[in-house]
Amino acid sequence: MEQSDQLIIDTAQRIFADHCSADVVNSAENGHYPETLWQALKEAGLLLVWVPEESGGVGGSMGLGLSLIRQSARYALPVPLAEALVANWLLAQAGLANADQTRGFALALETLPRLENGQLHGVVEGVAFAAQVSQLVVPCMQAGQLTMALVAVDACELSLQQSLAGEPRHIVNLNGVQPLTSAAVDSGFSIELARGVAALVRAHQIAGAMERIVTLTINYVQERNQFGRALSRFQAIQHSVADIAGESALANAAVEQAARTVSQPHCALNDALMAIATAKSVAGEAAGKVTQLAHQAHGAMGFSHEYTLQQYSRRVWCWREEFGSEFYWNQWLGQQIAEQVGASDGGSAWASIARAF
Amino acid sequence: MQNINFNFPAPVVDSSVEALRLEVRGFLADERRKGTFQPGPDCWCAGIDTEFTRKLGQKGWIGVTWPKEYGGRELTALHRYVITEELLVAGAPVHAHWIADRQSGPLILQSGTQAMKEGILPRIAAGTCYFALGLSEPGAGSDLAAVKTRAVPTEGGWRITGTKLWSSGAQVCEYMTVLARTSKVDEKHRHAGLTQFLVRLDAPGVTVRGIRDMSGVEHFNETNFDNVFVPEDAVLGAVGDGWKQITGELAMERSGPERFLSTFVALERAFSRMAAARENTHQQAVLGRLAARIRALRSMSLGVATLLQNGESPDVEAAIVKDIGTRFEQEIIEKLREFWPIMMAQGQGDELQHLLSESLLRQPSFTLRGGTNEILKGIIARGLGLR
Repeated sequence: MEQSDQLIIDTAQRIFADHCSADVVNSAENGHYPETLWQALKEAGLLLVWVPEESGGVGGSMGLGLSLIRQSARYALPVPLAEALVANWLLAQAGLANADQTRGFALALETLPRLENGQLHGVVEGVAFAAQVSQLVVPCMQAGQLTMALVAVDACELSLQQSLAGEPRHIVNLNGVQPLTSAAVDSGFSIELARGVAALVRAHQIAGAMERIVTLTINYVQERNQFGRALSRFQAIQHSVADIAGESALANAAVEQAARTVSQPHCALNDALMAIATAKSVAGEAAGKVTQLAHQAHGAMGFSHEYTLQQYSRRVWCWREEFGSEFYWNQWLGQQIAEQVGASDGGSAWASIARAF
Repeated sequence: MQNINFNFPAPVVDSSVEALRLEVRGFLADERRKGTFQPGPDCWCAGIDTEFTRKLGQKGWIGVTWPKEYGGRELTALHRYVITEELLVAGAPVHAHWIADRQSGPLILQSGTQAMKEGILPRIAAGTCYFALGLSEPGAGSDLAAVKTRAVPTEGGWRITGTKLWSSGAQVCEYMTVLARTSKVDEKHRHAGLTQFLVRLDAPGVTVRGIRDMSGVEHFNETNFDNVFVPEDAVLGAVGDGWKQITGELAMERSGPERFLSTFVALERAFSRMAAARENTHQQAVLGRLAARIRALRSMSLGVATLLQNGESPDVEAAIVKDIGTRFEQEIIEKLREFWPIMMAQGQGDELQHLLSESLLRQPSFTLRGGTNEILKGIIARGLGLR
């Protein structure tokens, strides 16, 4: 990692440690939006990591942004840092990048909204933190072209839903909304990559949250005594914690590999998506295994709202479903590999697997 | 709060690595066409073909990281990695040289005498000199420090007495590295007083008896040492260094691609069948998941190789690769059963069925050899500060 990148990560780390305690996370769920934390992130320029330098942003790499997002998940960050990064990245794909506002994004999983005669048509579900930002970036179709539209949140009709983690997810009705601005994306950019990067962001969040779950579990089993000794002295518990750490490590390896792949200049779309599919599949599956074992090791304490484990387990349960669960990406990957195997004489599954470093 | 984060750095890939991969892949495809070998699962343990190993030696693909003066090519660990993974996914019969290339050669480089380096390493690299590991015994499996084989000093050398068990490939090997007790057990320091010796398997007093495994292959052995004389310079490193040497090799031994690719040949055939058949989304999801986990395991394994290359000691990470990887090799077979039931020995002429049945019969060993998964979890737990 470059020195300037490390500086940004260290700055973020300080802000998370100072302003994102377990109490702040719980209060956010109870409706007290953590303005101090949000302001600190804004003032440090962290929302602008994926805004190009010439547009007044940081111009950070994909890898830097994903590291930042993974780190934020180690604190169960209850504000839309990840969403702001992705929103600005989407805008940059259409040459609309700027550093003016805080934004989220409304990315439809199937049919994209249409932009016709200056008005949007469509409804996007599961939009994270829409009411906490002033603008939304909406990937849409205009005259058969993939387009980024920027809309004011005030102009949209929002219905509030809550995620499993008590975080806001909105249904955003865009019918009749006139965008503030819009532009077609650069050639070479595709909606598949947009959805892929959103999935990869969630995979990094899962990986980061699981790292915290590993740490919480290790500390708990060392402190908690039963039958006259620490839980960590029981071999059954040791093996269980080893499994948690292993699944977490495997997810780390997958998300790091995918981050490297998408960071490569001129990375082929298929290579990027295969790495992303791997990351979301492995992280999503690990989320189930890790939370099950971690809750088992924590006993009733981990089931209580007061103890922090729930902030992480509820988040990974939500994130593993968003932008394609492991089941979705498994099927996608299986189909892709089968197509590559069938496409050429002597094509092999191995050849597609071994392309990744 | 103590934070434990595992990170897996990117390997440094240059064009020579991929060129080498294509060369190895092309060679294996040619050999397959010529019918030189039949692909098999678990080929690094069950596939012994000294003629094939000699060909690999002629190509210069054994001992590639070693110094040129000892028959190596001074290539990187990543070059070796690519050669080994291509051999594994092809199901090529590579057991004859596997242990010498992976373990015994590096051990000799580190702890052997000059005569060993000059006399043995070039022959390993040529594919003509093979090694077996003399570690487990009838009374010492997971508890390796319980070995009873003794080495007693005598004039000009040592006399070794004892029995080694489960040594793969000993029937074709010229040498065994034998772990023996050279001083009495100190119950407080059970790992002290152990020494590794280089023993010729044709020495007087050595008998090798093949043991058939449940799959019908006779690849492992019981080797008996009856007062076998070895010269002074057969000691590897210093007397008493045995445990340190064995644990020093573990990260390398445990993190390689053979810890998750032993049954890949079957999965490759399954993908071909799926590509040829009508689209079945459930099957795509099941096979796609297996591919995702292989990709992740491979990233983790390459990350450990890179950590090793950087001079770090990723023992915990390596134990994780082996624990998850070996269970996964077994899981591949269980998942493929859903679409291709496994009943008949030899698969009755169908290649996928053959690979599946051979894999199923061989898979109990995957989570045992080189440290059981229970031992591995203990190592991971220790690394996490739990014991």
